[in-house]
Amino acid sequence: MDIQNEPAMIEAKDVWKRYHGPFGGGWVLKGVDFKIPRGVSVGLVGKNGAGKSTLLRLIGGMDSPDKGEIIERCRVSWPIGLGGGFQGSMTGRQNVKFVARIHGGNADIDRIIDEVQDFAEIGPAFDQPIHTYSSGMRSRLAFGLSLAFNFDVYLSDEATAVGDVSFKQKAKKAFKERVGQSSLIMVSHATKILEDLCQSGIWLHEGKAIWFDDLKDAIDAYHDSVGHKPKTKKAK
Amino acid sequence: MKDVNPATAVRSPYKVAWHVWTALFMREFVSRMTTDRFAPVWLFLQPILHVVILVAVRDFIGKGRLIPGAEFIPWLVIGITTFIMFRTLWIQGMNAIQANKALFAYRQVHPADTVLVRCAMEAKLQAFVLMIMVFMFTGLGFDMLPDAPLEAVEVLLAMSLLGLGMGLTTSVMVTFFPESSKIVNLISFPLYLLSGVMIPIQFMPHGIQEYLLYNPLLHAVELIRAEFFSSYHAVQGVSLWYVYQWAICTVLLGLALHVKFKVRMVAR
Repeated sequence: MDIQNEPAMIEAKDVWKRYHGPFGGGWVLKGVDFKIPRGVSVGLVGKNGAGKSTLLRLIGGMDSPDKGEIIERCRVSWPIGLGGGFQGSMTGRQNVKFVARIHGGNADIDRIIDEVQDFAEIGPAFDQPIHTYSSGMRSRLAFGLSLAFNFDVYLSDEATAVGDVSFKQKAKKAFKERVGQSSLIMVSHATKILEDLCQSGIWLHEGKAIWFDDLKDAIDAYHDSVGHKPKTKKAK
Repeated sequence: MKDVNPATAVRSPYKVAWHVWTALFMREFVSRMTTDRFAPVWLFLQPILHVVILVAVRDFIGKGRLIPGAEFIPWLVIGITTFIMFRTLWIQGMNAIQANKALFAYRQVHPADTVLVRCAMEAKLQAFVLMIMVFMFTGLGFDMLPDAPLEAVEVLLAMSLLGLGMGLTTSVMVTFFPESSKIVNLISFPLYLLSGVMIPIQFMPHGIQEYLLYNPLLHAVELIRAEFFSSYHAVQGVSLWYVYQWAICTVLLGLALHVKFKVRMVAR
């Protein structure tokens, strides 16, 4: 298989997106262009409100661009984040069953439930309504749930931010095991976990996306733009 | 090579839609039955109480109890139950999108799916309620068994389709203008009176009847009574085709609105 000639896994072509608020809305993305090759994990960095989550929602198919297009040549997960995807009044188990069913996994629903329970390790809370969960428990469940399906690309929107050390270790291990099979597109403000899991970076700045083959360069560019001395440089 | 997981292997669009519908159906059913400890009882008790109270009120007033060709209480019960069936489908369908908002994170789930599934489930539940009513009042010694059961089912089907159509249409409206749900609730009460559920329309002057007949609910309510009691003299000029015309138009309008505004509804 020739990596060079293989078409990019995810391709954004001049993507524009704006939101219509009650007081008019500005453009969030102004002509975003990038190509993500197969098997490369990408960290998305940028200021709050730079459009990181918007871009993930577009890639996840929850929303569509006002102009331009996003071409996906792979199976992409839903954006795993703090908020969406779970109905608060239902238990963790019911939510997992629902997601398994819509993905056609009715036959091996027990396997999926076991896997999620194994990964999430939230114990008896699995049978409690989601709105009683702490944010850490929610993201454990969300991460475990998405890992129960074999997606080519997983989208994570700050899902690891609220996790404790053991959860971060687990997430890291799960993705290390899947290197070569699946990759990750990740939004996070924690530089450490980005560096652990991603190779390349996209810096969203003023509505444009700037691609960096090396994630470190993306983080440095982002930190320079906000005038912040990154810790990694100090350590040198 | 990577082994193919049946859970994420490529499925045909029809299969995906079917999987979403089954999943939604089970979820809706569980949430309808477990909203509180009283929910499953309330589901059946509410229409029964509704009927009992209205029957009591009408019995107390005692005016206009002469219904041409039918006993009064069965006449009232079947009318109310059919009307409630329509209204429940409409209101539940209207609120389906709001209630399932969290699920649009999964790209398979469309807003229209939630309305369709909810109405299908509600129609089944209401059919069950109707059967309970029929058996209950038959047990109490009223003549409640339908004389033309298959034709009665046909009318109920038209009524459910109309409820679905109104649900589909107003669900889009409510998503963009949440205030409109108040208006919908407001007009459902006069509809109750205008559909001849409580007051026999036969006694009204012909000039008024002509205008009342624009309301498809009146047609359906009168028709189901005619199917239940073969000797009943329904209002002149009712037709099932008119109900179906309304049903088909509202369903198509609702689906068209869902296609048009799908992205904006999900993005909210």
